[in-house]
Amino acid sequence: MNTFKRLIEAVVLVVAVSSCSSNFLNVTPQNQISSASVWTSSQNADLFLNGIYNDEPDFRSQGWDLISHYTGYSYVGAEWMPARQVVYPGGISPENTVNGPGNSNYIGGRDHIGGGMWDWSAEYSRIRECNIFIQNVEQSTDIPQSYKEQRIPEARFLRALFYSWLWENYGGVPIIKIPLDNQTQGNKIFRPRATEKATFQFIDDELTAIADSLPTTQGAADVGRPTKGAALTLKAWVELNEASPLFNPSNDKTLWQNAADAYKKVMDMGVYSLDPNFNDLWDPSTQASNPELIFQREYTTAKGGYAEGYRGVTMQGGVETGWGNWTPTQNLVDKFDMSNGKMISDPNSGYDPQNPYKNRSQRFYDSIIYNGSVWQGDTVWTQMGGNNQIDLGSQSDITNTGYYTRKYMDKTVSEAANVRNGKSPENYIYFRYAGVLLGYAEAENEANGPVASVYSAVDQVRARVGLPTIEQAYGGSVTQSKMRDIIHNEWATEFCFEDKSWYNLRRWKDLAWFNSPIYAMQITPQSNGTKKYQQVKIADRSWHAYQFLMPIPHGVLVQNSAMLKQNGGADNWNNGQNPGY
Amino acid sequence: MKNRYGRKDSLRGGTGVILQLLVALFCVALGVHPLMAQEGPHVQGVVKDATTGSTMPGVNVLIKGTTQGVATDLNGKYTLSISSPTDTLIFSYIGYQTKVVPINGRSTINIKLESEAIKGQEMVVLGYNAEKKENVTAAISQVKTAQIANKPVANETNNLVGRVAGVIAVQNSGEPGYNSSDIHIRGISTIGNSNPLVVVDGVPRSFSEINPENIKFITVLKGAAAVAPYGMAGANGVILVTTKSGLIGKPTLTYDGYFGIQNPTFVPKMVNAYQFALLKNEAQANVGGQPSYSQAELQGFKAAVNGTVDPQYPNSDALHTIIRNNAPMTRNSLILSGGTKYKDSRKVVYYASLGWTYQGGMWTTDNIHRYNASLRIDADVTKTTHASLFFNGWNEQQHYPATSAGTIMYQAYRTPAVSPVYYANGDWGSWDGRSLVGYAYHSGFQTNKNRQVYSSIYIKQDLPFLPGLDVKARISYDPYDSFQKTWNTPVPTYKYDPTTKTYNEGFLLYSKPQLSQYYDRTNNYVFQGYLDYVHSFGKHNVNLTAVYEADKSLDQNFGAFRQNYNLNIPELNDGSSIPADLSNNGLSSQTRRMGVVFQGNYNYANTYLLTVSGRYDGSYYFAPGHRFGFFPAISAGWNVANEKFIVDRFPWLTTFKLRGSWGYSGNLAGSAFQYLSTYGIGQGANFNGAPTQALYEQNPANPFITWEKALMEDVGFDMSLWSDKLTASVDYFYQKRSNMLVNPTVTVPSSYGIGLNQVNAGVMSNHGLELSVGYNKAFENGLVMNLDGNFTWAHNKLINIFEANDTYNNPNRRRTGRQFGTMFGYKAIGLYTKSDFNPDGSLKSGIATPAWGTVRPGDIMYADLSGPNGKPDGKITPDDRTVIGNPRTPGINYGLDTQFQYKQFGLDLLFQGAAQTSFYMGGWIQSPFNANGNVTLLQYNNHWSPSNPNPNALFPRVSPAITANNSQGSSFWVKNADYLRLKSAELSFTMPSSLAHKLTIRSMQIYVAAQNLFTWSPGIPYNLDPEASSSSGQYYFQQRVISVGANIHF
Repeated sequence: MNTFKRLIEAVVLVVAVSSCSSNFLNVTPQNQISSASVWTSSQNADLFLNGIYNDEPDFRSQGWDLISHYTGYSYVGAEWMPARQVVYPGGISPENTVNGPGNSNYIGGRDHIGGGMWDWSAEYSRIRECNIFIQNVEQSTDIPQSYKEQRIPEARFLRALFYSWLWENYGGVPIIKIPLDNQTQGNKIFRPRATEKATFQFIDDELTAIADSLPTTQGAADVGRPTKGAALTLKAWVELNEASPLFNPSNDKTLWQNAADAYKKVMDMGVYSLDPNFNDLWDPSTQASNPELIFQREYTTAKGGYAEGYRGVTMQGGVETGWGNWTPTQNLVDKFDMSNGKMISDPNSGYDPQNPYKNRSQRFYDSIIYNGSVWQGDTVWTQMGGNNQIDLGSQSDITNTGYYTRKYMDKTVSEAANVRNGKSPENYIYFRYAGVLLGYAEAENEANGPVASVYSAVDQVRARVGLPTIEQAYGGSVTQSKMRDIIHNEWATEFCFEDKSWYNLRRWKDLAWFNSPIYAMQITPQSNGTKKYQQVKIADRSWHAYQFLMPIPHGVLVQNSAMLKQNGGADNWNNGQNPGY
Repeated sequence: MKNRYGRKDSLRGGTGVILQLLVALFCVALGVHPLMAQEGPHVQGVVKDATTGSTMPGVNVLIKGTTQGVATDLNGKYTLSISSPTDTLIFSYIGYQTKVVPINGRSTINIKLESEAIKGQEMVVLGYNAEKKENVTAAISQVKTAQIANKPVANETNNLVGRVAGVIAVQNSGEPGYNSSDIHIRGISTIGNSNPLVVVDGVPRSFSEINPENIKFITVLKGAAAVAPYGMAGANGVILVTTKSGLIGKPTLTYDGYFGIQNPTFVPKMVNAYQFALLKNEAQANVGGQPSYSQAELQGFKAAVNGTVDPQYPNSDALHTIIRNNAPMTRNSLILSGGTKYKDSRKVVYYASLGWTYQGGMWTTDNIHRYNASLRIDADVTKTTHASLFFNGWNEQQHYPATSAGTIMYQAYRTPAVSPVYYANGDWGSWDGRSLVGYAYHSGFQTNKNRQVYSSIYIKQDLPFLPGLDVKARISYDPYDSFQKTWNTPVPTYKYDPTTKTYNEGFLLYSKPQLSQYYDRTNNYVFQGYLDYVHSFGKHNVNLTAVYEADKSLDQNFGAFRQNYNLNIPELNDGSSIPADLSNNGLSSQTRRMGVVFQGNYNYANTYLLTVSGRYDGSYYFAPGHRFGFFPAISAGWNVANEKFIVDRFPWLTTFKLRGSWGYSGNLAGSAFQYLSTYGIGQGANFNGAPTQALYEQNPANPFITWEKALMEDVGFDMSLWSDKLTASVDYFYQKRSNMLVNPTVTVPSSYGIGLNQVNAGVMSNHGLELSVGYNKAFENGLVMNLDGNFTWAHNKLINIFEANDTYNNPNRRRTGRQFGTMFGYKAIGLYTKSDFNPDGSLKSGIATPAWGTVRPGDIMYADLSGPNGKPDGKITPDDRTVIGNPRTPGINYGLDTQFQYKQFGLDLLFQGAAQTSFYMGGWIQSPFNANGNVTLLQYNNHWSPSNPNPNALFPRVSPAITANNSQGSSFWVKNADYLRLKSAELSFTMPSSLAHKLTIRSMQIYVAAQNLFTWSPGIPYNLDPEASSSSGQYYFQQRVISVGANIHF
């Protein structure tokens, strides 16, 4: 027995040693902070808000899901990119969604929400961030009222912006204004879609509510934060969308009038004006103080964009430097006016198909690199035998269309370096004043016809790029329909590559544009020293009317029975996408 | 006095051997035949295994009462100087019964040693204690390390596959430094981390980089009773590695080394330039585009294929060009060992080794050097105190291009034959803004210097007041350092300009060099306190162990970065000092664990066996109050062959043991601190000219989060006939893993906006069968044959996982009830033919319409199996998905090791195979021009086209990028990846001892060996390894190694 007694004593000793050190397992992680401490100071809350701004999607930090590709304003040699693999063959479906430019491929910073501009789950993640911020800052007793009054409207603006992308792409979507919590809310987390109208109304009301809480102007330290003008401009833009054929099939003129009035409010602020120099809009050194820019995202060399290398001129100095992912199509080039202000389709325009780049508008020369253009000290020859000889069949990264993009390219950044580490500090522009003028003109023209204020607004935009007034160009006043064409053309040429075309072409339900084949310009030098210009079809396109609104991804529907049941919906989703197509 | 002299002698003998070696080498170098003779009286002889008759190297032969002795050579021969013909010799070898033989004036004494196993004396390490093999009731296997010693593998994890039942290993990459195998014991039992625990010399450590020469044996613990002592770390099985210690005897010096060459097992064949251009034009035509290549270009490429060298028309083969032939590989080890036994029977043994391994990669800029060193001293400090000191370390220098192997292989697949890899003048080209040669050879470098030391001190004190009771303590300190330096430089590349006939230089990736440095150090501390009690009361045998164990590790890292270097000197100090060009980072973390282990073995007359074991275990992972769990297990056995009625009637039945075990084990899942509600820290948007800091919401916390729990059951038997001539073990196992962490995203809508907290709700079972059979026979003519076969079948089943309604409600798609990793997709039913379409291009009525755009003849047709209401609906939608393939991890693994020894020659062949595994073709293997890339020859020859409208073609019609329809996950792309390999082969020759003696070495063996010599995988039609880790084939290929080597025993 003695034996066992000792044995047991020894075991007890071992257990005793172990139990006295249970604190041994206490470890604190060093790469995160406790939730409780976040909402106790405005400093911490600001750090959270910094993260939401960081999750804004835009094309300067994403490589291939470009809106210009989707719409055929530009083409890309890489067949695997979504525009060529999904959009052009008419393949957008609940199983094959496209999500637009995002920050999924951001190099140089940690972005915890990637996803495209209207990527369903990414967008709701961004919206959740806003809801978390708004609720916690509101409820915090430690955060001063002055901070709440300053920052909550910013978060509500961002939330409205994120909702506007959902609504413009999908129609009605679930409206979620508080952070969902499955622990406390149970099945209520499964939100059905709001109707298209209700979704619009939510966004519109939010912007109305916050506009006056936001500052009218901001210092350089706050570039990227919304102002009153930003809220009013976004409001006018969603009202313009609401009035357009996609959401206004009966052409209710009051909707157009609402949009026009909303735009007028921005114009009447007296804060914004057109920059006399079109090219200055993309000059990183002056963007912060540019009077035309209403809402932008700030980039720096430490954390910048890299569009130049991925999308720029392919061959420079005889070697491949840029990846040529952004090559304007002949279809877009044909939309640029002549310097006399006429469209090339006008028999009196003076357009010469065998000398097509002569006497075009300054906007053309500022936006497009064509055969013989000089870019970063090198002349770009897309003609046969040239240093960037057109590659009609996607043999390489060299342009398939005969063009490269000049606009929005940071001219100070080397393309070769930009592919990886030479980041461009050029800001991304969400809204600028020229869009306010065009939006106003479009809405006013639809509501009341081509009244004087319509001419005035469009002419301001045209004058800045050296174009004659409409009346000068067209020899007097024009019809409402002609004015519509002119305004649509202004949108296309003034705002090409600015992520507006996807929204404009869809809200106009421009089926013909989306179904037209893509053309390139093949230029062949002749033995007599002249050049032969020939437009060549390089791709067929197919588009279905039901694609004007994006399908709700299949995965989203099966996760939410509250939405699945809506298949076919009470109003058959005439004003929003039927989720099951 | 005699004793002291003896020791001196042995020392002198030791230095003498080295001196003799040096002299011998010198003489050989000068062409002089060394003339040396054994002095004084001596005894010689051969030691053989009593059962197999094979000679036994390394047996200790000691003169009784002295420390004078030798070890037998590789032929089992020994020669020992004696001081008196009346001395007595002691022959000892681990695992064998020691034999004491008086010399009685003889000069030749041949001895046969009997295995201890025959009498059940062989000890098996079982977690925290050891047990006689005969009495083990838990499911375990042992790897015969003699078989893995000479094999040319740079990573020891690759040596286990095929050699032991229950071990499933998949090697994902052949790249130096990254070529370890993923090991799963008894298949995969969890959807979480399924890696087994590896324990080296009693402490959780990796064995990947250990010098195989230092490994004494490897034990694989599988059943509950064996793994329960590891608590929350044991459920996936445990691999116990025990390193060698010295043997009593004169110092011995051993050299082991080989030199080998490596080549990929498979390299896919790609098209030539002309074929590429033709196919590209065909693809363009299929989408209404312009031809990519003109007639003139086609003719140019055709001429290039026929041998015309014109820089305008390259005909390159990127994959075969970038992969060099015969990449070298070598390993060299020197081992010094020996030991002394004092008069009072205390002893001290030592074992020290140095090793050097070099492995070159597929490109010369990819290589590793590894230096291993170990030292182990075991000493009886007093008659009751035993101490061991142990160091095992390695220092690894890895060298890579600044561009990763993945990116290089990506570019190797992308670069088509029409793009130059090298021009005739030696310049290199680029494709699509990247350069294969530039990336592999001119992008800068990454060097990793990793240093690891395993150090332990171990003290065992017998307690005099109770016989059989002892206390032990082990303290381990394992520091690890990793220093990484990455120097990225602008990548030069050249482009031929046919008009000027010049090669223009350009640069990719970076405009100026940049440097990143990263330093990481981890210190791991383990303390173990043991209490052991071993005693026999008559026929009752008891072996009890209790252990307290605590470990903690501290990790700290620090990194710095500078860009825009003006000087080409890769040092931080020589870089830019502009703030925007600098950055740094650093973080520290800790892990902690503690537990109390018990293990008790009891048997009655070695016939009725019982083991209880378990652990009370705690981890820092979980919330206070939820940190500790209890994992008990029990196993029992009946050694039928020890019953008198069996012994009498069936004397040939050496062992027949029925056994079973039941118990619980655990597994950590997810990550630490999931119980804490926290916000992450990251980078925010730019404001005021600089990036800001940001906080972001983490997935919500689950304060109740806990470990995975495994219920493990095992029944089996071990059998041995005719004194181990034929052995067999059979096990049936069942494991039910519950509390698996599942991420229930499917139960909240996407609009929820964030993931949910993980919950311990997943349940999965895994069952299977293991079989090992061994047969050995010594023939009259001297041929000795050993056959070892093993077979494992493991089949898991998901019992409870969160599953969306759309899959759960569709019997074809339901995950629950099926194997984890089962492939789902559409069932392909051939290719559309022209007759399936109306004249306007639409599908004829009655043919189901796919949901992703327009289809044409030559596209893949899918079966309409179901619809929203469970019935075919005329549409191909996700409702039509079904099971299309097996999991990637094989369900069946088997191996057959055949060894033959005939006189001086030995042959060892290991065949290894796997079945019930599928491979999904992706990337370039699936689609031509993938990522603007190349095309396989198989695709070129076997695709549907208007001129080859074969509805059963291997590939659909080509398009510049694979269409949405054809790229849907479907059975069209699933291949059976069953394979059989000649995994390893070795032919050895042992030098006759007469010759060895002339060279004054004890013995010498030379061999040729090979890894992955031959692979048979009939289900895979393309030239790709069946174990390919990437469905696109874009990975660093597994290597076939052929080597020559030698073992020299001085």
